[in-house]
Amino acid sequence: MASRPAGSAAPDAPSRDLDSGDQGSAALLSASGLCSGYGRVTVLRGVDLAVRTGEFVAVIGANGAGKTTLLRTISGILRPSAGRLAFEGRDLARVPAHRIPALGIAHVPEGRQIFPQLSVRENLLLGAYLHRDRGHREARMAFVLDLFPRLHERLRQAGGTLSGGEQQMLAVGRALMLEPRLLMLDEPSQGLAPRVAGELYEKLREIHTLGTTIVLVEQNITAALRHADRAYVLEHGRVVLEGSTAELEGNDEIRRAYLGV
Amino acid sequence: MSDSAAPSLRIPSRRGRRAVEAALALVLLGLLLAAPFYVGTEFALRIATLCCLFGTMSLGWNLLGGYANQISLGHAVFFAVGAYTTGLLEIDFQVTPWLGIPAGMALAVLVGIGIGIPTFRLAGHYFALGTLALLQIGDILFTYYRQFTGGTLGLTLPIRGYRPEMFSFKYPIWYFYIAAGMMVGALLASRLVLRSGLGYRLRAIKENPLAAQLAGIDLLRTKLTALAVSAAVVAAGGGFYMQFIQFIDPDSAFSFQTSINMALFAIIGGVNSWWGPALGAMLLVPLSEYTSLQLTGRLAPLGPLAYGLLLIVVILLRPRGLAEWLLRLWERLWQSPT
Repeated sequence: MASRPAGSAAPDAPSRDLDSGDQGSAALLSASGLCSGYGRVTVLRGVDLAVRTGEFVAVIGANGAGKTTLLRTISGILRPSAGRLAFEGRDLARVPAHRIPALGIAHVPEGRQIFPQLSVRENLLLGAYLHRDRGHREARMAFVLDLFPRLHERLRQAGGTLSGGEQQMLAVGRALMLEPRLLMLDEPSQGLAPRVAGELYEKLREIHTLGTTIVLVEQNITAALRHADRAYVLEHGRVVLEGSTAELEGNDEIRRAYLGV
Repeated sequence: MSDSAAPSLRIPSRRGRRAVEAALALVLLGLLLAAPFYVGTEFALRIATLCCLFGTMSLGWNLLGGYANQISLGHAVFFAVGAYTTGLLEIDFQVTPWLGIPAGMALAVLVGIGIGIPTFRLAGHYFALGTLALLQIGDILFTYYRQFTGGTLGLTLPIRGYRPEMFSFKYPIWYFYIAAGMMVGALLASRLVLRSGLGYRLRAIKENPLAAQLAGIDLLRTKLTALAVSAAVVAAGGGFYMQFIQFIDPDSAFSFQTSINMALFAIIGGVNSWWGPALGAMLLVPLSEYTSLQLTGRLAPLGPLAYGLLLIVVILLRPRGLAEWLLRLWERLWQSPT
């Protein structure tokens, strides 16, 4: 069996070590026994995961499995109640939410989260709010507009007047203005026409090829498995399965049991 | 491609904006400088002065309530702090209001931060409730501790003769000029904030707090900064009011009506504009003063009624305020389709 339950030793990656804050080939992002939730409601019940630099990782699972909670905890909107969470070996648990982006973590939240009354240009510039250097901001802007030419055509338009797909591209573009080392996306294809969603995934692949590590949360399992290298399956706030997407896709039993396809 | 977008979907062009703003600034400056020529009566001069005073306070309210949509229903607290600080310092310690007003502004900043830190941390309308509660508490405390505050009898400034160094002038026009200068200062502050990084952060918080936070904006600190400036501007208005009217009591200081008016002028004028709140005050203060003067006796209730109806009409027809409407009008008149 190629896929394996989470928690067992990974034979193909002996250098990976979830528990230590080691640098070098250690994980870019690592969680061990991570618990989190809203007030007294615990959603994550001990999540273990590790994302290495340059990976494209999908987190999949049913509604309420804890996917969004996981991203919200990583970006500091929610506080972990137990467990360890580290980025580049640095403990994230004590970092306030507004300092997380400065570490190089960009989070594109669920639903097209833009500033609707601000122009496309202003939306993007707010994404680069942390870059003090004007030249740097302009360079990031050029990069993002090169990636999304449609935004270039609409720079002076209010963000709220864009189409759904364009708004999602704007949200992704704003996140990229940070020049993140880790880009996290929460259901970016939600509510988009299949063709537009496909276009967006092509862009994500391009962003990944250009060197950004990506964590993608999706309910659209087929799409997620097609584009990511590796995937975690969440169920009731725990990782129940992990492996390369090829392994997960190829295993009929797993597909029936966990993926519902 | 980009030309196919309807003009109303586009952000008003910077050139159009600049032109409208420059035109309005000239009109305002002309009106202010020419005031002695057209303002014939003391009553009219008093209204002109109140326009500038309420314009100032509404601009102050707007920094937080308008730019960041952190609605405050108790902003009169800062007005009261400004008024009482100036009055008490002068009466009890003979401190000149020229120092008393800045002292009141500083104290208002402290009060603002004190209320902002606990309430801004909570999501929802706690800030609005917090300032509203402070308004009630202030009213009760200032009524109860009458040995310090004069209680319900209020504070009356002593007769001091005409001494400019004590903020006491022979000609009422001087009060008008000071109020006008204050409003010009508030306008400049309002413009500076809107165009600065702080202004963008505030607008981001208004439009999408989650996205703002994920872009690295410190929500608490940004709101507190705006609140500090806002409280200081409103307190300056309170200090001036104390000197102009020369009387304050808890009911007029901790007034819900004053709080509402600051918000109302801003909303009618346009909360997204740096000059909208001043425009709102210029239109609504004379209207309410004249209707309450003209309609007396059995007609008296008609004044507030007409005022209320007008507000409803403006809000229904121009929900984004008059400032935005003027900009759009300018666009339609002068920006020929290219």
